[in-house]
This record gives sequence, C-alpha cells and structure tokens, in this order.
Amino acid sequence: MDIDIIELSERKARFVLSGVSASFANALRRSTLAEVPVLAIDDVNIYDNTSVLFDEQLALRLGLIPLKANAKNYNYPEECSCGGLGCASCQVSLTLSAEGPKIVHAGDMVSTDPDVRPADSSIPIVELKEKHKVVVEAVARLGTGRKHSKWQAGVAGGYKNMPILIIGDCDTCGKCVEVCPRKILKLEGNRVKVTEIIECSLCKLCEKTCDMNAIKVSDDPESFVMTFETSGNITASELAIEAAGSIKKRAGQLVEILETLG
Amino acid sequence: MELTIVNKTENEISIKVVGETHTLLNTLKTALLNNKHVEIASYDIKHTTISDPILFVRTDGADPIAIIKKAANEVIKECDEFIEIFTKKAKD
Repeated sequence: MDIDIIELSERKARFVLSGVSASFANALRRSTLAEVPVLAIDDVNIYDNTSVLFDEQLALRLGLIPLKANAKNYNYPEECSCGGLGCASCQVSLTLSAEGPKIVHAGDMVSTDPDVRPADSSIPIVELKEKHKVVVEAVARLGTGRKHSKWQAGVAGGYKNMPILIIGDCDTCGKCVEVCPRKILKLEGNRVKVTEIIECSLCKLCEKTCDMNAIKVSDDPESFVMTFETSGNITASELAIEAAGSIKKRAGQLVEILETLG
Repeated sequence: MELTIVNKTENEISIKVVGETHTLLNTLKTALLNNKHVEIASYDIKHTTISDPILFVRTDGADPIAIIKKAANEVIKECDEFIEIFTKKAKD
C-alpha cells in the first residue's frame, strides 16, 4: 500500500491510494459518509418562536448546522454510563436567543462547552423582522451518518481508478488536444504530451477522435484517486484516519465474536 | 455487532452479521477470496434497508470459522497500514 497526497487542507483531502483492492477503497468511502461519529443538534426545546418559520423547520435547520467538536470527548447516548438520559459526557446544549430585526446566524448560538461551536458562524438560520423573537435550547448528541445525514462527517467522497494514458506514434493532428474536456493534453513540438494525468475523467473522447488509433486510455485496477470533503466538523485528515479506524473496529469485533464461537 | 450461525457443515458456513453493511462485508469477501482454501465467499443482503447481510463461505475442507477470522485479521492489518502511512504522509 502506498499513499501519495495531492491536496490536504482542513476540509478537503485528495490522494492517490495504490496497492489496495477496490473493495477497500469503497469501504473507506462508505465509512467516511456513514460511520464516522460527529456531533449534531438532535433535540430542540423551543421557548419562544414568533419568526416566520415553523418550529419543525427551525429545528431541522438547527440540526443541519455542522458542529466543530472533539468527538472523542463524547459518548454515544445509548452507550453512555447515564443510560441515555443525558449527561455532560453524552450531550451538549447550545442556546440561541434573538430578537428582530436581524438575521440569526449559526454563530449566535452559545454553547455550554467552549470546544463545541458551529463550523461556520455565517450560516443563516432565520431572518427576523420587527418584534419577531426566537428563544431555543438545542441539545447536540453524537451520531453517525448511517442514522441521519446531519451526522455525516464526510459530505463529498469519491474515488476513481488511476487513469493510464498511452500515446503511440501519431501525426500530431491535434484533434485529441481540442476534444479533451479536462484540457490535459498538450501539443509539444511533434509530440502530444499529458500534463495532469490525475485530472483525466476516463471519458475516452481522445481515443475515439484519434484517426490513427494512437491513444490508449485504461485504468489501474489497484490504484485509486480518492477525494474526501468534510462539512467542517472534523479535519479531512482526521476523517480519513477515523474512517479506516471504524472499519478496523468492526473487523476487530468480528474476530472477538468468532473467538467465542470457536 | 452480533453473529448468528444460520447453517454450518464441515466446510461450509452461513452467518448472519447483524448490524453490518457492505462496508465490512465487501472488504471481508475480497480478503476471503484471496485465501486459496476458499472456494466460495459471498454475501447477500435481501433488502437494502431492513435486512442484515448473510455471509456464505465454502472451503476446500479447512475450518470456515478460522478462515473468516484470518480474513478479518487481514482487514485489520490493511486498516492499520492505511492509518500509519496516512498519518506519516499527512505530517510531511
């Protein structure tokens, strides 16, 4: 196995993962979407809501706000020692009180845990007009994307096989250079050169256009270009590591149970 | 996770893996098929949202439970390798 990181920022990771099976790459992708635990608002007590939004709509909008937190400090409510009743180690409360006229943003929420805060403070929740008022207490809990998309840690994840482009003898007519939608081919002297092979979408338009059948597009079955994006609750590198950790945990549980079966 | 043995003979086993999805089962299947003692390794999820997957393994005579255990350990090793390499590369 080898990893070649192309891009790694706080919210986005792009890397070439080679020497693995397609099933491992897919498990990693599935895991980022559905198995990595993050905090999200799960319960909302509404004390006052005279805004234009219904209570349910307001609650839904609050639920979908990504919360930045260290998820390791929290337990799942069903696994917590309090038995799911709710304590400081399985839930955190955020309060929001605002009076119009103003636009209420995610950043206006006040959290009881200073480490838990909305990933983007500029997300608008509701626009309040004169005399409109919103007073709510929201309870955030730990969950995974499998249960509801508000707990999704990775919001955009995908992979493709590493493209392989072989250019043989050609008459440099330049048709392939023109037809390529990703503009990765370049005419250099009397040769066609590939500039950014990773950007290739494997559309094979160049292969079809070439009159001399000089271009061969294929893919490497054991090498993948993987892209993950997070909604801001955790960093992209944490996401990749947690996703692999989740698969490992499950496989470990399987081994443990199989031991008891003999 | 919970396991229920649906059927077991000398060289065959079907187990219901309660609470798991393609994420684990597909990786496990690939690991199983890499073992030369495995003749068939497959799983079935009857209904996408309400059913639990049933894993079926047929071996050439080796103990199927030991074979699944070995495959699961290989998955663990692969994850460990990914975490180790990714952590190292992310630091650079």
